[in-house]
Amino acid sequence: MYLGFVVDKGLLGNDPHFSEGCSYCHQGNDQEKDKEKAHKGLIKRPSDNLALCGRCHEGIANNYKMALHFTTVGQKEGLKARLSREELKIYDEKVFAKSCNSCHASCGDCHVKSPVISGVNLGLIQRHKFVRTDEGKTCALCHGGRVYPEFVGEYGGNADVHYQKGMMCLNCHRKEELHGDGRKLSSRKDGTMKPTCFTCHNLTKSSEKSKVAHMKHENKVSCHACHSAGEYRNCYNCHLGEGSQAKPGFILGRSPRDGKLTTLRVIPTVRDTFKKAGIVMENFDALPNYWDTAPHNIRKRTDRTRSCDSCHREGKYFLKKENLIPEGSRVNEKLIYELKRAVP
Amino acid sequence: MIIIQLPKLKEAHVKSTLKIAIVLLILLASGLLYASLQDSGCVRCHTDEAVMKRLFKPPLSSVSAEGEG
Repeated sequence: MYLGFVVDKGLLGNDPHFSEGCSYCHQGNDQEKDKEKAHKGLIKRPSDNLALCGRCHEGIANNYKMALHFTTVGQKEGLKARLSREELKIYDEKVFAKSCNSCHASCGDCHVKSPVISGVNLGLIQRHKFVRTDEGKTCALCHGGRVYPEFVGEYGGNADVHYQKGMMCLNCHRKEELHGDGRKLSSRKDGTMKPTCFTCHNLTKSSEKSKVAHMKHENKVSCHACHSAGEYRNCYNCHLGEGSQAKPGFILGRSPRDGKLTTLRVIPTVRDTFKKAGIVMENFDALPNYWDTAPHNIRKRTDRTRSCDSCHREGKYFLKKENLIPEGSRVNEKLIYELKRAVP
Repeated sequence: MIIIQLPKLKEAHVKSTLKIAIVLLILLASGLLYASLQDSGCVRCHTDEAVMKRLFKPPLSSVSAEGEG
């Protein structure tokens, strides 16, 4: 792991980022030979101060101030409706500032050094080279619980077909989406630059069977509902300071956002998640425990694309009243999708 | 002819000398900067694998072992 702190000497004379010397960004004392003295006042994450990068990259830094990876307000906005006004104040002070917002990403987390996850620190991405992208050492760390392992096939089943074709995160999630456009967003779903399948895929070369299937399900069923290859990670029972338990599952139901049939993922917030902070979530039932999700395990052919029976006769994977999570939100029932059954 | 062209030659000569001087100054400055970077305590340790191996302290293990998203 020490290699993560070794700098490539060859970069120093060639990359303008180093032209002002180390202490320009990191402070500390670059004349000292003793480690402790040299590190006194050291700033480990200089790019937390966006103005520093903004001296040259002004436009990006200004936009990024509002980007969800930096503000992490998505975590707060996704919960807000469950809390009373008083509880929101407590949440802001005791939970959001100390917990949720502590794992935001600043410029360096994607361009210089892998983010530290649970004390594991891979260190510099390419010996302090300022890289454009290196998803396996950046995105993969923070998104290593669900999205990335699904994408590369480490969570059982096959890897996402896009990964197998050599694509990585930034091939679909454009830098403009990640840097933001300066608008304040409350959820990644609000972004106008999020990826869609239709950017690359159309039906011009598809078979007649495929065209008919797509036409029949258009605007009623999400792409993932049919093309997600299999089980993905669902997290249950999260409690402040203790974390949650995860298990694989595949759930089809009504999207709480647009009502389409889609893949749903269990979110780990339960009634007593924030009990330790004195928050009982007075309006817990305002939001469901399942949210629409885009599992990153896409395949052209799945058991749902092979046969209509999988859904229309067997009703496989569908959320049903009897398998709703116990003690869950009362609105969970609204996500049960009443399917048109095939006539036997 | 020679008397008329002399000032022009001089001006051109001064301009090219200036250009060379500026280039030399930039090279000198970047050389000095590179040299000063090489001299800094940060660079001395952080570019030496053996030193970093000796100084590195492994982190204490934590409860959770995965990213969240």
